[in-house]
Amino acid sequence: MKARTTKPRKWLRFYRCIPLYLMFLPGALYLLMDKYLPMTGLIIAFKRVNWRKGILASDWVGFSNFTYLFKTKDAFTITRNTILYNLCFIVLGTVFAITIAILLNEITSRKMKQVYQTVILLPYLISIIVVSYLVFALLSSETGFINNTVLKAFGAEPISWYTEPKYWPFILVIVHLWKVFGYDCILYYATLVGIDQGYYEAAVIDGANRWQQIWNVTIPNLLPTIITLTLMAIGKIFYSDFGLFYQVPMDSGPLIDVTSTIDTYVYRALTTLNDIPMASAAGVYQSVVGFVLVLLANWGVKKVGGEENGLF
Amino acid sequence: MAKRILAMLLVAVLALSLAACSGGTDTSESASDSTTSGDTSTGSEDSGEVDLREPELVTLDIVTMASGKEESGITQVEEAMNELLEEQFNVNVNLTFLPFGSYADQTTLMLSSGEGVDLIAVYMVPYASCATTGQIMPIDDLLEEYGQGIIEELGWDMINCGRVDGELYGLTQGRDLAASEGFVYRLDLAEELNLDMDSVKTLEDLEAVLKTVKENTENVWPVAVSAGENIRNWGWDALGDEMINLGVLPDMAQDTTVVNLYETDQYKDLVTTMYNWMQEGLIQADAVNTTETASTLTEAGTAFGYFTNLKPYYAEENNANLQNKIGVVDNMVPALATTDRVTMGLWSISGSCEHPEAAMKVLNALYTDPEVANLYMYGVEGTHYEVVEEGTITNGQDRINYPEGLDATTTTYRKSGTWLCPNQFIGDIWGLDLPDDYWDATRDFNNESQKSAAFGFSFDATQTPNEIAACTNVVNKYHKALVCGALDPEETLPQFNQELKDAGIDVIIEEKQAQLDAWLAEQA
Repeated sequence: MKARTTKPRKWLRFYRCIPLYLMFLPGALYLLMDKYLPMTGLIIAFKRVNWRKGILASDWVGFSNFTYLFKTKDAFTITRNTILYNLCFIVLGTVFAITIAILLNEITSRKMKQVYQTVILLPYLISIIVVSYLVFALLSSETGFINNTVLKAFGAEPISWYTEPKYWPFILVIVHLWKVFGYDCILYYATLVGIDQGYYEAAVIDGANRWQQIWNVTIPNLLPTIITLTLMAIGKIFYSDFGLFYQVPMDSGPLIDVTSTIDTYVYRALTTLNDIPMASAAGVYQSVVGFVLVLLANWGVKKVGGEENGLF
Repeated sequence: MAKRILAMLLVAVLALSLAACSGGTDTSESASDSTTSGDTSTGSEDSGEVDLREPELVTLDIVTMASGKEESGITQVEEAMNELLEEQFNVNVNLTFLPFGSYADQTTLMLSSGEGVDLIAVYMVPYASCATTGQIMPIDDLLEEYGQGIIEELGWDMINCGRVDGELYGLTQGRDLAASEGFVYRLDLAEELNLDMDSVKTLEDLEAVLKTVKENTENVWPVAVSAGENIRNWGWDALGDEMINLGVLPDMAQDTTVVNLYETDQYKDLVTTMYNWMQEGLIQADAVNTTETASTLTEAGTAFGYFTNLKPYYAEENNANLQNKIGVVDNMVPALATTDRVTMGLWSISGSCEHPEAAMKVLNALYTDPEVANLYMYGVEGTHYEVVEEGTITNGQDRINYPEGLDATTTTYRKSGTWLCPNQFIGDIWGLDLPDDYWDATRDFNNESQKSAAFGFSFDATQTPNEIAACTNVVNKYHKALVCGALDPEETLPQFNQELKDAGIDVIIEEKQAQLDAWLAEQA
């Protein structure tokens, strides 16, 4: 009896949800094609690929494609760069974006607010190739603005920017922040706008000045957004912005030690060594370490912030 | 409702897959009614009676290097070539030209994906690794069957240089196969500044001249570089890959002891000179980052000259295409013939090619049929060039030049990078400056140049792949920048060599020495 009633009902439920399933389908297919299918390519890293035999028929070689990574300090350098740059981006990016969001919120003129919002979003919309030439216009030793105008004004010696690794950690961080802060701050700003004005009124009645309002009302209200965004960023900590690290330094050899991240390393391995198995090996390394890092980060957040703050 | 959406989705999928299919099979014309074999006017082909036509129309993608300019004349040239090749082999061609600056990157990606490439000039990418990974195919049998003309043109000595592990994967070109190193400069500036270029023999002599240029001009770089590369070779035999030079025979390569180039005095002297020049502003300041070629900068008037490898009549050959005429300081390093020089550009059939026989037939035509070769190198007569003197060249071909009203900047099919085309020796001669016996002179140059002690030896890099990969990364970090003079050798060289040692260069050198010794024993 019971079985007879539930079966049609289940079917009915499924039938009713078909439009929803269909809506879900493109996303699922995309995920499958873009993220899961390529994983079969992992086997390339463990083979001596001969394209005439095909990938599947090529010989297995175990871990020998990985040895070159650990022969020099390459593996260490690219891991260090990827993680440190991303950590820096997360911390500075968050602070910077929140500051700007709060400042935006303090502007009372509607018109000016819109102008500022547009202006700070612009860099995010510029192609990284164009950005790299903007940077080049500043740093070029021949015609660059900094060497020819700024340093000259102070009577300082011109600097050969593209061969001096020591400046690049700063340059890359600045360029990154400049490019993304407008976009990041929109998310925080949206949360800010949503804060109940009642809190501020209550704070004013209690005698809080502007600064105290920000500290005691705005920041606590922003916290959930901060945690979510930060966690999402940590999930991608092992993936770097290829354009930023490859295009902006203009693929300059002497800078490789400070500009090489895993993504650019894989690309370089592919184009200069023409060795797909070795390039894949670097890719596998990225995936494995990235996976471990995400698990660790999630575990850490749960440990510190309680179960409900973890992503999964 | 749901059904309708599903139906629409299905239709969409169907439409997409159909589009994909029709894109793939491009065999539109049938070849049924053609019993006549191709017009076998092709000089040295000895298969006169055999029908070389493919049963179905085949389209081949041919990839080589040219200027990066958008060229509208390519379609016209394709049509003209198709007319000839369709009759002979029932083959159509699709010509792809890639610029120097991105040639290595783009062809690497092409070869690894196997898309859009059947015949290709493998240049600036590690040829041996293309061969061992099957990106290009062994062609011994094909050459024997369809390439007799090529064998006759090149000779086995040169062909054998293209062997990897005993098997042949690529064919060198009819071109200069040795190289002297020297400096190319703008004649107008030299004249204006009264420079005595004839007395320049060494780098020191050149330095004095460059300083004069620096002092007396504004916004002109005395030395320009090409895409971050200043000097590729200064009289050593790289025994393998000239881009990375892991284990070389230095100092004109007469001694057979393999050494680390980056530890030699020869290299140190060179990069120290370049560093000093950079400090004095003699080399383009943004050398490391530039993606332009030095010849473009010189032609544009922003540079005085550049280093390059040379051959007889280099200036005369190039001046036909230049507004800013050039002169040459030759033999700063005398001509040296190395295996690398022969194999620096090789015509190969890609591993993904579905019609290798057709590809070899077309290649044979490019090496032996002047009509096809001239079309490919110079374009369509009357449109891209006109004949100046008919049949005066010693190989029986014509002297040609730009037609009325066209020049290097306005032509739609630019004559550049022709040295990489299969066989210049059977073709026309461009411009009025070269002598009638130019091709013979080049052949003599090939035969008479000093040969490296390891001429004919090719290194099998598959024994030490990890060391080579690691060392390549290190070399990419320092080598080009050092030769551009952008890094201080006092500081950088020790660090560079330490990193090379850590990456295992000694293993490579040992392996190279062992292979070379074995090869030498075989020769004796």
